[in-house]
Amino acid sequence: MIETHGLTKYFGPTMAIEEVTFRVEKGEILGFLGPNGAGKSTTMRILTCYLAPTAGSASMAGFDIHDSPLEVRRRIGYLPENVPLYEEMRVARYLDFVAEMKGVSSRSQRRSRVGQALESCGLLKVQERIIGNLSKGFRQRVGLAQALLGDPEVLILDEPTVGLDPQQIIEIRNLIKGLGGKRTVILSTHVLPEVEVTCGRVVIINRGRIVAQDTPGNLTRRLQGAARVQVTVGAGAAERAAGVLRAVPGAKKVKHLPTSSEEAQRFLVESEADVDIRSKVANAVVTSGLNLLDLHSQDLNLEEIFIQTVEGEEHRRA
Amino acid sequence: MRNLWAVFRRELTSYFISPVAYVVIILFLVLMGLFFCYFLSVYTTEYQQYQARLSYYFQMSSQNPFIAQQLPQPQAPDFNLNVTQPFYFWLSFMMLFILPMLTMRLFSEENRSGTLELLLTYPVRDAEIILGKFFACLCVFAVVLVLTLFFPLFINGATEKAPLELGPLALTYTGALCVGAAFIAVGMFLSSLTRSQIVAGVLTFGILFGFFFLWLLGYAGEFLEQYIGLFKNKAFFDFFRHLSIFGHNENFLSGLLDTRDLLYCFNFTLGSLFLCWLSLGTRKWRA
Repeated sequence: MIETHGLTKYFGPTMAIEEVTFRVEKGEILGFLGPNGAGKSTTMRILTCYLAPTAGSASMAGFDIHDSPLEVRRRIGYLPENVPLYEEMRVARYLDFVAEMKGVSSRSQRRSRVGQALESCGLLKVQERIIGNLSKGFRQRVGLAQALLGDPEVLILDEPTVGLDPQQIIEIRNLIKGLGGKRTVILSTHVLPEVEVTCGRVVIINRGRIVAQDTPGNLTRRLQGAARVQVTVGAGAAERAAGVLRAVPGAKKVKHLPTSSEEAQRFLVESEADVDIRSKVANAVVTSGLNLLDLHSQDLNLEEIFIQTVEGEEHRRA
Repeated sequence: MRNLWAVFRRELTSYFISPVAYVVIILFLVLMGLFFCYFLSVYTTEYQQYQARLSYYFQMSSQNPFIAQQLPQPQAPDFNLNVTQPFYFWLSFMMLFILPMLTMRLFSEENRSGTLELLLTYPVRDAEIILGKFFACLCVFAVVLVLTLFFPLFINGATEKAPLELGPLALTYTGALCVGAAFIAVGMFLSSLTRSQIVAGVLTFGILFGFFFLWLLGYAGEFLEQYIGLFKNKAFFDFFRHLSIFGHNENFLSGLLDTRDLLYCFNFTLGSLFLCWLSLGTRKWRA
């Protein structure tokens, strides 16, 4: 659906992005992950034909961004970073304007499209309010509503949940997740849990370069190297417990973790990456007569992966 | 075409939602009202003097027909020459101050708030956006102009001594609209260059005033020639007058329709709009 090849953008002598190449399939939700200033917005602006790349090419649904920008723009809904809206307009009137700009010509058709957008973004109650007086959460939804208008195949959302309260973040994420499948979505963020929750695939970008791209699951597996299980047993003989855990077949390393309470002892058991030793650990603990309080596998979360990749990249460059 | 209409409607409503249009209209009408009163009072004084001279003339001629033949019959001061023309000259001068206020926000405001980014990613041609905004601004200006029709209509209703001359009046307004369109196009182009409304406004005023200054320079030549006898080279000074848009407005004011003036305004407008289009189009490659 979306294909970029070697996108490079310089602002004067400053490199913003370099050799950015990725593909997004139809119906996929792609997370664009990177620290502030990594080049996420620049890439998105190029995809929306707002900026032209210094080098490289990109196409959307077979249309090149340089040769047929109007065709590309007809197929995208875009939510820029700070949600720029016409402050003085009323919500419904603004959306009507956007619908007209996106080529919905008949008035009745526009009314129904705007109605749909208002409803799907939960804006029915504020449709007669002036945009400048809306709260940040509602503004964000108006921005999302205008992106959805015109039924675009591709949605490009630049930090859609920034500045929202947790409740609103969950709502917007659910809204975006609901869009997947029907539409192709690219969303950028520097909030890691967001990607884990909503995206099918992640592109990690740092200092203008792509450093990793894969599904969140694959990224985790690739970087983790080992599967880890955390076990908590009742108080008492720590040495014995450690011995029992070491004896579990498949366990490579056992680490005693410090705990705040005297009541329990925590251990971290590592094994080969693709082996699940949880049931074996449970068995061993129970048969040895220790009290098993808690047992769960511990994955590297995206946060750790992100730090590892970005740091690795910096290291390699240095 | 449809997009142009949508941009036009949004821009026009935004003028009237914000205080901009009202401030401009009121300011303009108050200033023009002052000018009108001034010219009218000057004219009234002159007319009174004329009446006094006339009665003196008749008195003399009834007493002594021979003297009456020697005396020239007093001429009534011309209303158009004394009120209408200076009034509309000052109207075009005030446009220098008023139009930058209307044009300065057109692009710079959208640039600053970021709405331009969104606008330019809709499936719309840059030209449609530019023309939509241009016509919206021109429309507000036309409203201002229509409201100034109050002054000639007021005079027409108040006295029979100054009949409305429809032809020259229509031409004067055509001229004001043409010159206004050119000013708006320049203002819009300058507004597309900066994020600051103030900078755009001041820059527009500066450039328009530069054109006014060119025109003055042309007149300086005439003045020197007439009173001091210096500078016989009229073409040299005419050059400046023709270069300035105000020089072309002169003909409209005096009720003369010259295709050169129309063409000048048209080209001026088109050229500025084209520059604006370039400035929007090249943003892709600029930082």
